Amino acid sequence: MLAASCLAPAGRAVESADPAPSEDQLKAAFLLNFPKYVEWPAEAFPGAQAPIVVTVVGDLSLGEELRRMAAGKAVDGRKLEVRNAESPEDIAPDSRIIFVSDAERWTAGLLAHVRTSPVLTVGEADDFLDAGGMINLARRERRIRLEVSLAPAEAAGLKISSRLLRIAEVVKR
Amino acid sequence: MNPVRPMRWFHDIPIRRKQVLVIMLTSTVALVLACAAFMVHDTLAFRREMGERLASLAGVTGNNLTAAIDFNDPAAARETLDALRAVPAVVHAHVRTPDSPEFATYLREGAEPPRDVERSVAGEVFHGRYLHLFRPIERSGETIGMLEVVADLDDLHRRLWRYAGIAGAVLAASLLLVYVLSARLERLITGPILELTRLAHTVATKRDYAVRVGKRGADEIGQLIDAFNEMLAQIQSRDDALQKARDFLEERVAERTAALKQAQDEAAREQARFKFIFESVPVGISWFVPEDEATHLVNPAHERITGVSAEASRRPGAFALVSHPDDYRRQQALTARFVAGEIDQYSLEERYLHPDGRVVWAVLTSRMFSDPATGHKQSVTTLVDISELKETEAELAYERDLLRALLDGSPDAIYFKDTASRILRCSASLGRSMGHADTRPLIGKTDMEIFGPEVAIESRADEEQIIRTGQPIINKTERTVRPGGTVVWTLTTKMPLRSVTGEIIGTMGISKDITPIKQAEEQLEAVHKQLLETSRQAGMAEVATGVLHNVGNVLNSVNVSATLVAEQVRHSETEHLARVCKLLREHEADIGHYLQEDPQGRQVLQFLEKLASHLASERAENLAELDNLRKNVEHIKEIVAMQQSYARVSGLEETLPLHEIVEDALRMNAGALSRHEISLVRDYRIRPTITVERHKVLQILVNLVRNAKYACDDAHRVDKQVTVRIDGDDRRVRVAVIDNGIGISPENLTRIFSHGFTTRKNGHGFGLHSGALAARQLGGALLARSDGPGQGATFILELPYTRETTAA
Repeated sequence: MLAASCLAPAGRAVESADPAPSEDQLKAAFLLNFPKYVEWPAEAFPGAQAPIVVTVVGDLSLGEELRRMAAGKAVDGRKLEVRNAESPEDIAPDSRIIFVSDAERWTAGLLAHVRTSPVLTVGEADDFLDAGGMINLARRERRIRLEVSLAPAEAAGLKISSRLLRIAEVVKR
Repeated sequence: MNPVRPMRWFHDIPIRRKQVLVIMLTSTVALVLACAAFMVHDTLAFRREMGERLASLAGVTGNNLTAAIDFNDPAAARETLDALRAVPAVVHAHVRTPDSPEFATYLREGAEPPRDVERSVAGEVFHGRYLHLFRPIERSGETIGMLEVVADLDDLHRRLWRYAGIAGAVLAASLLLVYVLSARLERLITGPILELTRLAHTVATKRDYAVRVGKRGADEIGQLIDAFNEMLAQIQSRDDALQKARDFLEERVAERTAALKQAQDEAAREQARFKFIFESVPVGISWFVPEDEATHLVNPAHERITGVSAEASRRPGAFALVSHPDDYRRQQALTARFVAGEIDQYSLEERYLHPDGRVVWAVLTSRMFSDPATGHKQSVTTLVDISELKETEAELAYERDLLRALLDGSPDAIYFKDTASRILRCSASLGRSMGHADTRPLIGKTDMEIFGPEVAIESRADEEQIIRTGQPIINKTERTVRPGGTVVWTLTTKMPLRSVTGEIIGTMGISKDITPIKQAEEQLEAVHKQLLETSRQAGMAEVATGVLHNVGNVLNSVNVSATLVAEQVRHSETEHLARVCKLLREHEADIGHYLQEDPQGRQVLQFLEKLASHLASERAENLAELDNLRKNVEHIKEIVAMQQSYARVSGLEETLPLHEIVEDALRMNAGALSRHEISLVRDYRIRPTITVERHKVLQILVNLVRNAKYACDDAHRVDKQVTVRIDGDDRRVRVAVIDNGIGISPENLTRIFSHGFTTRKNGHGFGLHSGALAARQLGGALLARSDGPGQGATFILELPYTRETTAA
C-alpha cells in the first residue's frame, strides 16, 4: 500500500515494503506523481529537456525527502528539480510546482504572486482552495484525499488529466 | 448384439420403404456432417471474437486505472471496474499491483468467483466455462499493474444450442422433403412391382382372374408383367365355366330368399297393425288362461278401466281386490261354468274401484276358445267403460222422476202434444178431470176426440199458430163448455216443444182451472154494478133535492110577485073613477056649466087627469111584476126540464161547451151557496168544447160543489169562498173546485176516494168514490189536494181533450 513503491519497478517492490511510510514520504510520492497528470503549456519550459522545478515553501524535511525520492527520476524526459524556499520572495520564477506547507501566513501573498504564471499550486490547508489554490492534499481519517479547483488551473493555462480528476474531489469555487 | 438381426429386419420390410430408408440415411449423414463443421467453425470464430472484444475492453479499463494506482486509491479503481457491469458476459475483474496482489476486484452480482488462474503475462486462457484475459496496466511505457478480466462463455453455449436447434429443424425439414421426393421418385421403379404384387394378392384372395396388369415398358419388369398376364388368362378361361354353373344356382337361391323376405315383411306389418289396434282401441282386452289362473295379455284400455297395471294383472286373483264383491262372485261363478264347458261365452256388468276413488262401470264380455296348437282352453275378455252411460242414465232417471212428480202432482192440466195435436204426455189431473183413473186413455188422442169440436177448433188453431210462428201464447183465458153443460174457465199458456236441435216438434201447455175465480169475479162485477146504480140513484136524488129546492126558491118569488100584484089591484083607484062618474051623471043636464062654472065641476077634469096618470103607473108596475112572475115560472120550467134531461138514460155523448155544464152544476147549488153566504168566484181561463156523457160530468161537479159548500160551512169562517176554475192543455182539460174550508188531513187524503169513506156524519161515503169511478169511465181522473186541516182543499176533475173536439 505504499504510494512510494509504486514508482519502483515491480521487481523491487518487496524490498522497500516493510517500514510504515512517513507522512512526508506520502506527500512526496503525491507531489512526484502530479507531473504525470498535469500538462503545462509548451512556453512554460525553456526547452524539451528543461527540468520541472518543484519548490517546497517552508517545510525543509519534506524538501529533503522529496529530493531524495526524485533523484534519478524523469517525467516525459524532464528531470525533477526540488528546491526549498523560506518565504514567497525566495521562490524562483521558473518553479512549476509550488507546495505551500501548512503555513497560512504565506498563502495569500504567494498565490497572488504566481497567479498568472503556469505554476501548479499544491497546499495542505483546509482553506487553501478558498484562497485560490489548485490542488489540496486533504487529510481524511488516515488517508490523504485530493481536492482540485479547476478555475485557477485553467486561468494559469494548466490542463489536469481526467484520470487524475476521476480519483479527486473536484471543487468549484 | 448380433449384427445379422438388423439386416434380417431390413430384408423383411417392403421394397419402397427400403428404398426410402436408404435415401434418407444418406441424406442424414451428409447433413449432420455439414452442420457439425459449421458449428465447429462458429465456435472458434466466437472465441476469437470474444477474446478481441475482451482485450479492447481491458485496454480501456486499464488506461482508466492508472491514476487510481498512482495515487493508491483502490476505491476509485473499484469504481472504474464497476463500469464493466455494462458488459453482461464479464463475471470477474481483478487488479494486481506490485505492492498489492488484490488492489481492486469486481464480481458480477450473484456470480461465483472463478478459480484463479496463475498467469503473469498478457494473453488469454480458456479455462472451463470461462475466458481469462490478462492485460498489463501501463503508464508512459511503465508497467504499474496487471488487470485480469474473466468472461463466461454462456453466450457461446446459448448460441451453440440455438444453432443445434436450427440444425435439427433444417435436418427434419430436409428429411421430410427427401422423404416426399423419394416417395414420389421411388414409384418409377417400385410402382409397377407394387402394382403387380397387389394384383397377385387380389387374384389370390378374391380369385378374380379377369384383371390384367397394364404394361409399362420392355424392361425386366415389363417381361414379368407379360408372363403374369398370360398365366391369368389361362386360369380365367377355366374359371369362367365354373362361374356360370355357380351363377345359375345363386339366382335360384336369391329368388327364394326374396319371396321369403316379402312374406316375413308382410307378417311383420300385419303384426304391427294388430298391435296398434290392440293398444289403441278404447275397449279393454285381456287374455286369460284358466289353467294357471293368470291373465297373460292386457292392453292399455284394460289398464285404464280396471286401474290394474299390465304387470299386476299377471298375478292370479289380481282383480279380486278392485272388483265389486258381488260382481266378482258372479263372474267367478260364470268362469267356473266356462271352464266346465257349460257355456262358451258370457257377459255381465262389472264395477271396478279405481285407485283414484272412482267407481268404473264396465260391460265385461268373455269368450272361451281352445288354442288350436295346444288344445288348452283360453278366454278373451273385453271391457267397455260404461261409467258415463250409467251416470247419464242416473241423471235421466232423476229428471224423469221430477217430470213424473210434476205431472202426477200438479192440479193443473199439463200436456205435451205432437205437431198433429195428439197428446204425447199429460198430467194426472187432466185424466181425472175427464173421469179416467189415469192418463192412458188420453194418450195419442186429439182435443177433438176428448173435448169435441167446440174446444178443439180454437185450441187447434192456437197450436197451429205456435208451430208456425214459434211464439208462445201466454195466459189466455178460455171458456169451455164441458159435455153436460158445465162451463169451465181456464187460464192457458201454450208454447212450442222443441227437439234437441231446436226444431219445433209439437206444443206443450198448462191450463189452470180458474172457474171459481171467474165466478167470484162475476159476482163482484154484479155487486159493483148494483153499487154504481145505487150511487147514481143517490146522485139523482141529490140532484132532485137541489132541483126542488131551487123550484121552491123560485116559487117564493112567484108568491111574492102574485101577492104584490094582488095588493096593487086590491088598492086600485077604481072607486074614485066611479065617484067621478056618479058626479057627472048628477050634472048630466048642465054638464057644460058644471064643468065650467061649478067649482066642484071645474076640479073634475083635473081629478081625472091625475087619476089617469096614477092608473097608468099602476098598470106599469103590475105589468112589471107579472113579467117577473112569468120569468120565475120560466125558471121553474127550465129547472124541471134540466132535471129531466139529466135523468135520462146514461151512455149518450153530447158535444157542448164545458162551462155550460159547470154553470148548470153551480145553478143547482146556487140556492145553497147563497143561503150559506158563500161567495162564488168563476175563473174560466179557457172555454173548451168537449164530447162527454153530460150527466156524469154534471153529477161529479154537483157533488164537488156541494162538498166545497159543506167544507166551507164546517169551517165557520166569515169569508167563505168557492172558486171554480177551468183550465187545461192540449191533451186534457181540468175543472178545479177550490174551497177555503176545513181541509183534509194527509192520512185521509190517501183514502178519500175509497168506497164508503166519508168525513161527514150523515154522508153515505160513495160520492167521491163513484165520482172517481165515473171520471175513470170518462177516460179522465178525479184528484184531490189539500195542505192539511184548515188549509182548504182542491178537487180537480181531469178529462181527456183533443183539438178535434174543439173544432167540432
